[in-house]
Order: sequence, then structure tokens, then C-alpha cells
Amino acid sequence: MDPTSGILPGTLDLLILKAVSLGAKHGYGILLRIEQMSGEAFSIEQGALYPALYRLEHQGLLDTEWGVSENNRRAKYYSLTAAGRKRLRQETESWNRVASAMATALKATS
Amino acid sequence: MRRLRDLFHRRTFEDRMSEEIRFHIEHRVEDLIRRGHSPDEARRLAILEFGSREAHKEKCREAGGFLFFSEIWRDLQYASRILRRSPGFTFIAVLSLALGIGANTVVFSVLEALILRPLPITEPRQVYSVNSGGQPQQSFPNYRDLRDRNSAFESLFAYRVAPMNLDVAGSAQRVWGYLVTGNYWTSLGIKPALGRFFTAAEDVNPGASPYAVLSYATWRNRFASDPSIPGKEIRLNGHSYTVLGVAPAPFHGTELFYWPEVWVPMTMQPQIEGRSWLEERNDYNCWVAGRLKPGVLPQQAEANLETIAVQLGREYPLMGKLHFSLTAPGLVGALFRALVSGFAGGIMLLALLVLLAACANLASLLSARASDRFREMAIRVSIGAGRARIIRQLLTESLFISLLGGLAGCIMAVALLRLLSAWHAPLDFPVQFDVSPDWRVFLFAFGAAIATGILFGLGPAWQAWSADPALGLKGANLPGSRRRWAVRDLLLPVQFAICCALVTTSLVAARGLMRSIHTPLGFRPDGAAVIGYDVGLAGYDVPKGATFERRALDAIAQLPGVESAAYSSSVPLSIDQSHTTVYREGTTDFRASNMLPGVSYYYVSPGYFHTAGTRLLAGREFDTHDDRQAPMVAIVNVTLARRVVGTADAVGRRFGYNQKLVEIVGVVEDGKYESLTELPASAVYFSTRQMYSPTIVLMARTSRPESEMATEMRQAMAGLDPHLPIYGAGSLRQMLGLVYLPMNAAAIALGSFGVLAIMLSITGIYGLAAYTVSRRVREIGIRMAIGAHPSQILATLLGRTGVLAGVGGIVGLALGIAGSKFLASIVYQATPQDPVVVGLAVASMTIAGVAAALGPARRALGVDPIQALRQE
Repeated sequence: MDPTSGILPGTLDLLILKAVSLGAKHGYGILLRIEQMSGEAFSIEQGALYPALYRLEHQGLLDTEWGVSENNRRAKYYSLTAAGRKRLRQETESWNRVASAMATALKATS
Repeated sequence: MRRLRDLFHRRTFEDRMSEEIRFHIEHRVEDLIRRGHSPDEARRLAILEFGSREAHKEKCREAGGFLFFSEIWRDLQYASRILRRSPGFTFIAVLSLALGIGANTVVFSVLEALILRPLPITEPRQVYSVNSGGQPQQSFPNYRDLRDRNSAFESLFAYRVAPMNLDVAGSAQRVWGYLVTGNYWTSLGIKPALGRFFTAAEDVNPGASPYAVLSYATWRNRFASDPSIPGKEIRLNGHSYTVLGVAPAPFHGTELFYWPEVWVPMTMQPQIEGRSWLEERNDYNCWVAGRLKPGVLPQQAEANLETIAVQLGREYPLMGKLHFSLTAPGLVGALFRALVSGFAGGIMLLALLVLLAACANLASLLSARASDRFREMAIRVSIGAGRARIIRQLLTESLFISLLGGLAGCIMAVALLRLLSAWHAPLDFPVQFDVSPDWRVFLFAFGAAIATGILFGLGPAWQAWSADPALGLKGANLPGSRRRWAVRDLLLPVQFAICCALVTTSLVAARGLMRSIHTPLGFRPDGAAVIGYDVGLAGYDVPKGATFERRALDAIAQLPGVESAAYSSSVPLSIDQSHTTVYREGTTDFRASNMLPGVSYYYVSPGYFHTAGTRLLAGREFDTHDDRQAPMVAIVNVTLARRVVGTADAVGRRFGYNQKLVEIVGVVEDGKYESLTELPASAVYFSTRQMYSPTIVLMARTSRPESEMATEMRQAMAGLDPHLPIYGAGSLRQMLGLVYLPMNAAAIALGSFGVLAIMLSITGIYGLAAYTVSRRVREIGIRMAIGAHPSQILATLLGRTGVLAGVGGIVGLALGIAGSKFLASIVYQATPQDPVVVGLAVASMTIAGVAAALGPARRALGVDPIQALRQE
């Protein structure tokens, strides 16, 4: 089973960027945030989040920093870089474009 | 950069990734507990929700961009752990590879030194030896004409090997040098280490250039690295020469094996050698080589020389026909190049066979192990490892082994090559091998290691690739092992066949060597002590020299223990061999049609044949009456008698020599003159009372030890003239050393390969047998428990190995016998049609096989059924 099934390809990255854009978060926090944002409509295998995080970090879209979590543990916090913020804007726009185009297309009756 | 840094911080990367994931799961567990799950339930759920931790980690590493390095690193760690866990296997694997790679490295560096490595001169590829009739010899007038008329060479130079007598601190020492033309140094592009070299000015006036250039080693050893040596006087052959300069350290002329000590201009030849041949068109005494003009191909140069040959043939009709060919310099023109290349190539082939045997050895061991690890592989595949990953792991393991083996092999090879380079042939001749390994050799060894690693790693990797993990998890063995015969069963017989062929070949060579020691030489070298000297080098003229030779003979003959003594200009099979031309019986017409060229000649004293142990078949030896007042007489061997008068019954007949008629007074048995493998050759002997030679070999037949005798002979000579340089004092056999050298080299090389082959077959059989036993301990226990006889157990366990080895052995024996035929050209009297060789080969391989299987067999019989059944 593909651990990321249940969400459209490419959307996980966008969701992560969006989740992080609202403030630095650790991996588990990002997961909870995505579940909350999407109304738990997207279910992913939890571990599949991390390869995506590492990929975004490697692309320079996310910055990381070790800090102390709300339950007093050492945790790795992710935040958006300038490039990440720019990418989020672009992806959101293009997503909206595609979504509205799709909506129009599917509404057509004749 | 980032990648490098990450790699450096690999541990931190791994640790932090684990910590991050641990944090995630802990956090999740707390949340789930808060939602009302029990702690155990919460932990189970959290882990389930997270998914395959290893697979995600792997993807993180990939995303992090240095998956490749980290995987290699982990593969290596894993491989070293696996190998440490089975030290016996590792030892056998590394040992067989070390032997294989070590042997190849040694052979390759010899090959490289002999054939591939260019001479230490400027642009060596442009320098060629000019051969005429397969040898680089040329007469000096011909050389001059070639030099002046050709349009292909930038410069053409001549050189000649010449022994000289160097006065060092009042004592005379014989040194080996070169007579060279003035353009020698500029042609080779050598810059002096000190002072200057000869120039064209040294070619102009005969006898007016008493100059010398010293080799670096001579300057260092004999002149204590005296920095002010240029301009100083040294004495060569009693004459004063001015040292002009010192050659650079690596330079040793253009011949690979001959390391001269001193160079003297060619114009000084008459003074150095006594008799001048510089104006003799038919005396082929110097070697010719030259540097081609840029852009001129060797074929073009050959064509150019051929046109000159035609011109010269027209101008000098009495001269034999010239036919020129160019070869790379270094091995006496074309003379030894083909032989050495063939020999070295053959040995390289054998070395590769050894390596192949080692590979087959390892491949069969690894395949056997692979079926054991089938379960491990199946588990790894089922928990998410890709097949490619597993294959890489297996290849990493085999490369790890092969690199270890290569390293060990290199160490052994370097040690052996050091010994070989330091070895000086026990000859009176500056023969030296420089086979010290360089970067090319190490590159070769590294390449060989990698190639073998891949070669023997591929089989097991392929098995892993095609395996079905579901079968493995069910506890099945590798599918292949269900079949009665698998591909890997081929590996043992292949390896055994190669080893058996090598053993057979080396036995053939060894037998040939043993037989050649007893081969009839036409004289008896055992029990003869010799000393060589050259009165010419000590400045004696002909009458003084002749008197001295007789005095010396008298002195030696009176030594205690000498049964008989005699002297000659040279002895057969020593380095110093000369040819002459005689003319058929009764002819006064000295034209080419009656010519018999290529006759070995010797000047011998009365009693020589008796002393040398050469049988006189008819007529008489020379006596004291055969002097300059008497008619010219000669003794011939049977072959020459037949050629010159048509029958061996030749006493009293005459032949033409040197514009005179010579009477045959004796016929002696045939012998070997230049090499042990030559066909029956002609030889003629003249009396030392009628012909004069300044170089003398004095021989004494004695029942005392030869070396002891030789020492006394040397002392006796010193009593007559302390300044006379003596060379080659010792047994006659030592003086023949050069003739036996290629044969000894072949026998040593092949012998070593034979030993290697036996060791490899022992490790191969031992490895496989030991493995079979260890794997089937449980089965052995059951069989014992139900009352199997030990012989039955052994037959089940090792019968298959035995059959495989037997088949391989028979094939190998046949191959070895077939392959040994080419040996006959190098090792005299090597013949594979010899029951002793076949018997010995079979016996040694059987003993090796049985010895190898003995340990595992004992282990199998020592199995305690109760213990064995309790296992697992």
C-alpha cells in the first residue's frame, strides 16, 4: 500500500508548507495541524510525513532548528524560509487556478 | 559541500532522525493515552499509525541527498560484521585471492619492466634498433654509410659492449662498458648529471679522444661521488682517459639487462680492444640504433634503409645481403624481443589462470553460503529492502573480500619484487633486473581486485535477485539446491581443472630442467674449475701475451689436485661466442657459393679436449709442434666434418679458412655451443700456438671442490701478475649460468605456479567440504543415530565433491599435457609424454585433495548425535 494514498500527488508538500506558514512546528505538530486544517479528510501514514519534510528542507524551502516542545522534550522545529514562502504563494495560486478550472469543467452540463 | 558536511556528520544525521521519530511516537502515545487508550494499546497504535519506520528512514536519507554514501557505509559495516562472524571463510577467501592477485602483480610488474616500460630516455617511442637479419649487429663502415645516406633518422648511433680494465687505487678491475659514437648522448636526449658528454667532435680523429663518461653508480661506488671528477684522469687498459662527465642515475644505456659502468668514444676502439675493426666491412661488431625524425613511421624508415641496402649490395658484392627491420630497443634488437614477449605473455596467461582458479574457488564458496543466507535475504526483502539494495550488499561483501585479498597480495608481491630486484645473476656480466613496482603495477593489482570481486560476487547476487522471498520465509532452501546438479557445481571442477593443468605444466618444466642438467653438452662441466682473464686489458702485446699464457698454464698445472689443465679463447655456452666462415674442402675459390658461415670457433691449447672432457672421435689433439712454423691445422666437430668434407671420417682432409688451406687433424663429438635448445651446430678449433687470443679461459680438471680450486688458481695468477684482472673464477657450471638462466627462470616461475595451484585446490576443497559438513551437522547426527556406518556418512557428504574434483582433475591433466608442448621451446627436453609427470601430477593432486578433505571429514565423524539433534 502506498502510504500517501488518500491525498492527491503533490498536495502533501503544499499542505506541509501551509501548516508551517502559520508558525514553526515540529513534525508531529505539523501532522496534527494538517489533520485539523483538512478536517481529517486526508489520512496519511504518519511516517510518510518525514521524507516529505526532509525533501523540502533539502530543497531549501524549510528551515530547521532544535528547540524544546510543549511537553518539555527536545524537538526539531520546522519553519518557512523566504523561498518556502514564495513557493507556498505560487503553489496556492496555481492550485486555486486548477481547482476553479476543474470546478467549472465539472459543472458544465452540455 | 553540504553533502560532504552531511556525510561527515552522518552519525548526527542518523541520531537526530531517530530522535525526531522517537519524539513523534512518544508524543502520539501521550495523546492516545489522553484520549483514553491504555498505555500498551496506545504504544501499539502509535507504532502502527507511523508505518514502516525503516522504510521511512530510508526515504528520509534519500531525500537528504546522501543515501548512496550512507548505504555504502552501512553495507561496509555490515559486510565486515558478516566476515568477522565467519573467520575461517574469510581467511580462506582472502588467502586464495591474495595468492592469485599477488602472483599476477609480480608477473605483471616483470612484464611491465621488460616490455611495457619505456627506457629512461627522451621520447623513447622515437628510438629504434636497426636490425639486420634479426640482430642489431652491423659493421662500422656499413653503419657510417647508413648514417650518412638515410633520410629517415634524425640521428643514427652505434654502440658496442666492451669489457675494460679500470685501474682503481693501484689494482686492476674489469668493468663492463660501452664504446659509443659521438652522437649517442644527443640522440638519446640525456643530460649529464655532472660535467659534459661526448659530441660529434669525438667522432673525427681516430684514437684522439681519450675521454670517458662514468655511470652514476660507478661514480658513486668507485669514486666516492667525487664532485670534481670531470677533468680528472682515469686509467683504462693501461692508458690515460679524461673523465668528461657522469650519466644521470636512472640511465643505463639502451639495453634492459646490461648496465654499463663506463662509456668511451668509438674512435678509441683500437686502443680499448687491441684489434681495430672500424674499417672492416665484413666484421659485424657494433649495434646500431637511432632516433626517427618527427613524423617518420618505422615502415617508412625501413623502406629507406632497404634502398640503401640495395646500393651497398651493388657497391660491395662480396658482402652478404642486408635486410633491415626496426624494433624497439632494450632486448638486443629483435634477437630476444620475440622470445621474451612470448615467454612473459605465456607466464601472464598462467598467472591469470591462477587468478581465475581463485575466483572459481571463491564463487563456489560464496554460492554455497548464499543458499544459507537465503532466509536472511528473504527476510530483508519482505521488510522492504529492494532487490537492488541486496545485490549491492552482496557485491559490497565480495568487493570487501577482494580488496582485502588485493591488499595482502600486493604486500606479498612487493616483498617478492624487492628480492628479485636486489638479486644479481651469478654471472660475470652486469645483468640486472629492475622490476621495482610502480603506480601502474598497483593500479593493475587494484583493477584485478575489483574485477575479481565483481566476478565472483555476481553468482550469489544473481541467486538473490531471482529468489522468491515467500519460499525463503517458509524455511525452504534456495530453489537451485533442490536440483541434483546446479551451475555452481561447475565451479569446483573448473577450479580443480585449472589447478591440475598448472601442476602438470610445472611438473613438466621441473622434469625438463632436471633432465637438461644431464643433457650431453659435448664436454663435462662438473669437476672443472675455470678462471678467465684478458691479457689485452693488461696491456700485453702478442709475444708477451703468448709467453704469459704458457707460464700461467704451467703454474696452474702444478697446483695440488689438478689432474689436467688447458686453456682456450672461450668455452662453449659461455657469453663469449664468436662465429667465423670456412670454405668447402679443396677449394681455392673463396666465393659465396662455397661459403659455410656461422661456424663457432675456439682457439684451444694442447690437452684441451682431455681437460674439458670432450671425446676425440678420430685423429689427435693439438700438440706443441703445431706452431707458427708448422702448417695450419684444425680440429672439427662431427657436424662441421660432414658439412665441409661430407663425412665424419675427415682426418687428413682440408678446408679453406682465411684465404688458406687448413688440414683437419682431429674430429671431436658434437656439443652445445650457444644454447641448450639449438640444433646440432658446426664448430672448429684452432691451436693457440697458431692463433692468438688475448682473452683466455684457463681450465683445470680436479677432484677437489671447484670453488676451492678456483681460489687457488686466482692466487697463482696473482703471483704471476698482480695487475691482471681476473673474472669468472669458479666452477665451469657457473660460467655457463647465462645459458641456464631462461630455463631456470621458467622452471622457478612454473614451479611457483604449481605450488600456488596446489594451495588453491586445497583451500577450494577444504572450504567446500568444511562448509558442507557444518551445514549438515544435524543430518549427520540423524544418520549416526540410526546407525549409519562412518564410510556411508563420508560418501554422502563428500562423494559429490570427490566426483566433481575428479572430473576436473582429469580435464586439467589433459589440458596441462596439451599446454606443455609450447614449453619445449623454452625448457630444454620438456616433454609431457612422460609417465612420471602424469603419475606425479595425479599423486600430488590426490594428496592435496585428500589432505584438504581430511579435516572436515574428521569433524563429520566426530559429530555427537545427541548434541547435533538438540541444535535449533
